[in-house]
Amino acid sequence: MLRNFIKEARQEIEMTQESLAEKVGVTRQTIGLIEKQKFNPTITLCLHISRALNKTLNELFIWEERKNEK
Amino acid sequence: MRNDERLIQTLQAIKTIGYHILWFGLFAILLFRWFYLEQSLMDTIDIFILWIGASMIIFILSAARGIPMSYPMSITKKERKLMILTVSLSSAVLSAILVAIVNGEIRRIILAFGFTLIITTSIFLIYDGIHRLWEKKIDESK
Repeated sequence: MLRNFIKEARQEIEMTQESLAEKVGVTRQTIGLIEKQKFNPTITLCLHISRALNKTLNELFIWEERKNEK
Repeated sequence: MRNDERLIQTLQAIKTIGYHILWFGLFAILLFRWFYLEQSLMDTIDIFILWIGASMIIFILSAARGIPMSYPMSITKKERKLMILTVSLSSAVLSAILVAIVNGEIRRIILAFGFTLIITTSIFLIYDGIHRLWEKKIDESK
């Protein structure tokens, strides 16, 4: 599964969910769901988020194997 | 917000549920009116056109946008040919059995078998043809 560190990166620069949402053009709820790993964003949105948080994709997103995944 | 991909995806999923309810609902209405109320095709032509039209659009768009015939399974060309043959023949046999139950006349049974076989095979070949055109277009655009 895709895991992200958006919440940590956002809190690091004291940015609210609202302002990140506004910067990348989505709703606050979408940012909330992405942070809770309940919605997988497209690569375009990932790039917008990484740019807004001044991080690279590698710093924000990792692929984590599930226990039952090969 | 207008381009929020989560909202777009969720709305699409909701619309898909609505489409399926309508599609199966119309199909159920057609079956009810044909077999229970014993209405003819002409009596139900408005609903039938709507239902077949929606089905045809889904069929053509699926082929034209590269959804494989065997989705969600991945199969080889040989297996695809075998699938077309098996499904077409099975449909034709099923159709012949149904006609045999309703009306045992041998001419009608053969007619139902042949008609279903031709229609089913044609549908598969049309789908395959459109899908090949899509593949060709994708290869050319590389």
